[in-house]
Amino acid sequence: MSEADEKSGPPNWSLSPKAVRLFILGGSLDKKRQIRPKYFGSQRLIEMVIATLATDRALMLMGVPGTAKTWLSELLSAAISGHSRYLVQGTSGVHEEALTYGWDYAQLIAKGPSEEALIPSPVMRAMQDGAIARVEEMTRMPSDVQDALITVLSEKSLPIPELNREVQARQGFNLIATANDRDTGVHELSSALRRRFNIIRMPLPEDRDQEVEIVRHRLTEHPSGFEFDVNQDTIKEIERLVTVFRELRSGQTEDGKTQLRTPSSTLSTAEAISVMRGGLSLAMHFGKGEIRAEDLAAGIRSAVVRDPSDDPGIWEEYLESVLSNRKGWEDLYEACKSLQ
Amino acid sequence: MSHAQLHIFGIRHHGPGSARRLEEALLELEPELLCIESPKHAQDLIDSMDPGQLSPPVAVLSYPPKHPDKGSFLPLASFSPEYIAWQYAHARGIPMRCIDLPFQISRAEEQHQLPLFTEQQAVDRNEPDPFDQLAELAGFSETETWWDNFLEREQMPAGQVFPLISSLMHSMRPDPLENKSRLEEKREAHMRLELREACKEAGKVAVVCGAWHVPALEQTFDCTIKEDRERLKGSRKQKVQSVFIPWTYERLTRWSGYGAGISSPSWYEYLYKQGDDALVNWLADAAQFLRSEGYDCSPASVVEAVRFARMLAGMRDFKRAGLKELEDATLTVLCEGKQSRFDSVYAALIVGDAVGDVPEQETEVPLRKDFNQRAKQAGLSRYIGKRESKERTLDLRKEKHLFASHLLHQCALLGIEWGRRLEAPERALGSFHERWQLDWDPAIELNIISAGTYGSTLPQAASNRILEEYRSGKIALKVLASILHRSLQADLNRIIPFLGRKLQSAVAADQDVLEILAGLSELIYARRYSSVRGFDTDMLDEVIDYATPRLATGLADALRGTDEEEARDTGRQITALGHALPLLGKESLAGEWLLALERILETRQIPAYLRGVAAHLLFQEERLSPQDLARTLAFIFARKEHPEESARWLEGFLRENATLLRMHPQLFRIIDRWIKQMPQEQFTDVLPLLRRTFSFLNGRERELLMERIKTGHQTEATKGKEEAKTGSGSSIPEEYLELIDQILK
Repeated sequence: MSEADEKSGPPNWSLSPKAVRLFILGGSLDKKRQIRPKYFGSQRLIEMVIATLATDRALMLMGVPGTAKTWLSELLSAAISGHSRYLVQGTSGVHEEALTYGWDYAQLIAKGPSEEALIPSPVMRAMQDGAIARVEEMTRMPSDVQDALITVLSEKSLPIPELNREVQARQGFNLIATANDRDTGVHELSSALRRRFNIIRMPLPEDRDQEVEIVRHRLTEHPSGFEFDVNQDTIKEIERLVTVFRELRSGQTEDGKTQLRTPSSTLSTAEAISVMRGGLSLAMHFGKGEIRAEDLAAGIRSAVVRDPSDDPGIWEEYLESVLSNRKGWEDLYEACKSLQ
Repeated sequence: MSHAQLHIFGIRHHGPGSARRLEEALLELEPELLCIESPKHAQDLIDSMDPGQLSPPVAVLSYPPKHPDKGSFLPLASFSPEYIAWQYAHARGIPMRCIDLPFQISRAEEQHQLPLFTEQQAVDRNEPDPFDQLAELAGFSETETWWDNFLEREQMPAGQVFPLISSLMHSMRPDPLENKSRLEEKREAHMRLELREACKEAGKVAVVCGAWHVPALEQTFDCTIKEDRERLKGSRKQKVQSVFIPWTYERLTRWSGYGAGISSPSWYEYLYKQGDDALVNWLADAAQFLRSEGYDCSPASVVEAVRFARMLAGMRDFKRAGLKELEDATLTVLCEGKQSRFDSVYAALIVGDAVGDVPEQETEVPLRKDFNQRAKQAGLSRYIGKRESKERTLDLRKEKHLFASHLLHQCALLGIEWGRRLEAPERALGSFHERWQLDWDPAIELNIISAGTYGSTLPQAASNRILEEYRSGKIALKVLASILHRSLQADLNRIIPFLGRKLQSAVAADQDVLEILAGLSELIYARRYSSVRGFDTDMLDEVIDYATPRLATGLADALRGTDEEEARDTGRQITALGHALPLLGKESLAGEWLLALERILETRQIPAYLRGVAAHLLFQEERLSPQDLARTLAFIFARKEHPEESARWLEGFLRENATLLRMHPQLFRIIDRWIKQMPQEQFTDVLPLLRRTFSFLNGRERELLMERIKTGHQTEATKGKEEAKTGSGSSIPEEYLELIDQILK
């Protein structure tokens, strides 16, 4: 692609911004070659994401699980820097070294603070290369660790007082962070750090078919290698499941005729996938191998009902006012009803 | 081709790019006469006015005096090319002609009512919009985006842009004289005839018209006068009056006078006034606005936002950042990706909250005429201008009285404070009577004029005002219910469906049971009113049937932990609903409601006052027998350690009804005994509460009750004497009796 790319991008970018967009969303490269779309979503969002990386601000992708935050950040990094290796995985146990630098203690004891004893973090390497660094689940890191990024992002330099020098970021360096905004037990970004990010909210899939496709895709191609055989019947169940989730999430039925109350649960695409996985496993190991409404009902209920005070009522209301009257859904209604 | 004398400038209505280019072109051309595509009936109004006296946005409201409800609005903003042309003509002292077909022919034959503010103005062309096709060809999904890109973003000089527009339009209209709509044909014929006249008067004539009309007007001297007169045949004349009224940017987004509205008036004003600097200035103002709202938005972020917007524009193959890039940069860089923050910036700086102003004019606003006419029809004319207040009782079964009632309700909704309802609305509902007090204040004249900006008849203006006020945002159920009820009373049937939809979504969305409690009784009265007046009640029934069970199941839980102060308000609402629900005559709903009341009565965590209210309602509905009630009372008053609680319970129970005490001696005795047995210091503590409890009694009731206490005391006393002989029993100290006397006084 970079051969065909005629326009120039920001320094150290392997593709121009427009070519990055093409790489992600797909389209025709030239008269002969087609690029496969890798992310399904709005062009506007992708443009905003790319434009952010070309400015001084870092990029924060925020959204519920299942909105392809990680996938998009990998794609961006690959398109801009040619690879997506510089990754820090955020957990509550992460220390500042993961974002700045650490020491090889054997060397440190032998030689004292020296270049040889220094172990650069992925962020520091990205700075030296002028590449994209990625931080996953940023808000899981303790706030004081997060704040180590402030100087990196605002001054584009990382001081190493022990060696009395600093690492200056080469042009092209930037950072993509991802975070989940519905989870509990997260550490909010400090306002100083927040100012250094453009925060882009990742939307849930726009229409039902797209969401069904994502669920199907994730059931058949799973990195763990534990794959399911997805046949027509299973797709029908995915459709029903996704419909229920979407209706409860948006607060109205798909035909827009009935208003619904929304439960406190997220009902993200990722949850739909896990309910489907649960259902399929049940069917495979304990049932007849064919997925049926009963295999899903419990999973759906436990995904919907999170807060014991309001959610049960909301779910019951939904069962009675929507599912009970829907043609062809009698089995699902009965299965859910029997759990009440 | 164009005649040597005629210089035709095709513009985009309300397009700031067109306005700037037009300004440029006029300075270059120096015409001796200007023609604009505005209806001819506005000519006198425009001639009589100096554009400098108006502060846009304003609109020309035109209407036939006989039918004020069939008028038209023609909005003008400071960046409208027509307004620029007018300013130019006025400054240079050259004549300006309004050449479009006057109202009397065009609209009168269509006989349509002036649409409400939510309805988009009917577009003159029934065919698919040719501009949509053009936009699609250029690869844009919306026409507005195409215009925006073509005229507002690309800053081509005037010398290029106007010929380009003309040739584009020619390619879209291969036969310029042909028109799909008869009305369009007439309008263009009219404009050509006017242009011929204009050319007789002056050497250099500049014509400002919508881009679409350019090819047709360039044919002015290529078709004969006879042909054009033929095209105009069948039009009839009608008297029309015009007046300038203030307009708002918010309205301009829905109503531009030419088909759909324009989405970003305030941004257009920046574009018109600042051209290339608009982006930077706008973003700086947006940052300032966000800071004034208390958000963190540093000057450095403005720089980031500008770079971001330009970067985006580059990626999208535009030379300059336009509205879309502006929006994206604001949302992402300035608002931290938060939609709610962006929405407030959008309302303040992209749409804008500008409101226009107009000087006093000779023609009075049509609403004033309509007001007089309706007052006459309602038989209320003689009260106009009278300072002393008059009372009127209206019998709604009489047509004239009903009309008067509608009129007064409409006035109230418009803030024209002429009549005041005397009874509390719920009491009057049982009957067909309404009592009003009419008071004429000179300020009413001003109220009418300012209400005139909403429309030219009272029902229309009242509807528009409600629409504008409640169109967006979340509105409490109670407010909606009350507006709906008032709209029904004011006979505003055109907005009932709108309010119904709002109501349905409010009920579905509102998770708060107390909100429903606050609004439901009003809804029931509204339903009752509409059934009495023979309106369709299905929509209201649906909402009530949905809301009542939700309320009934959740009420007792929701009331736990209400504090004593709130309890009084809530108690009022519960009582109101208790009176309203039976009016529906629906057994099942009433049943659920009584169950809810029973739950309230039994829940100890609910304030005593509310439990008292519930007991009262249950007793009234005979759900609680006198024996049960006596038991409950005895139980409540047996708890001697908390006399305040018992007093509050009593207060809730007795609300407005001392007759209960007189009718049921058993109740009376329990309460009497409770008071008597109270130790002195406790009694002094609850005394203020008791006073409040009995404060609603009128003189006669007080006397009756006092008598009752005295006789009660005497019997007790005689009993006491008898018992005294046996050495037991008690008697009430005399000073208590005095105190009780005090309570009741």
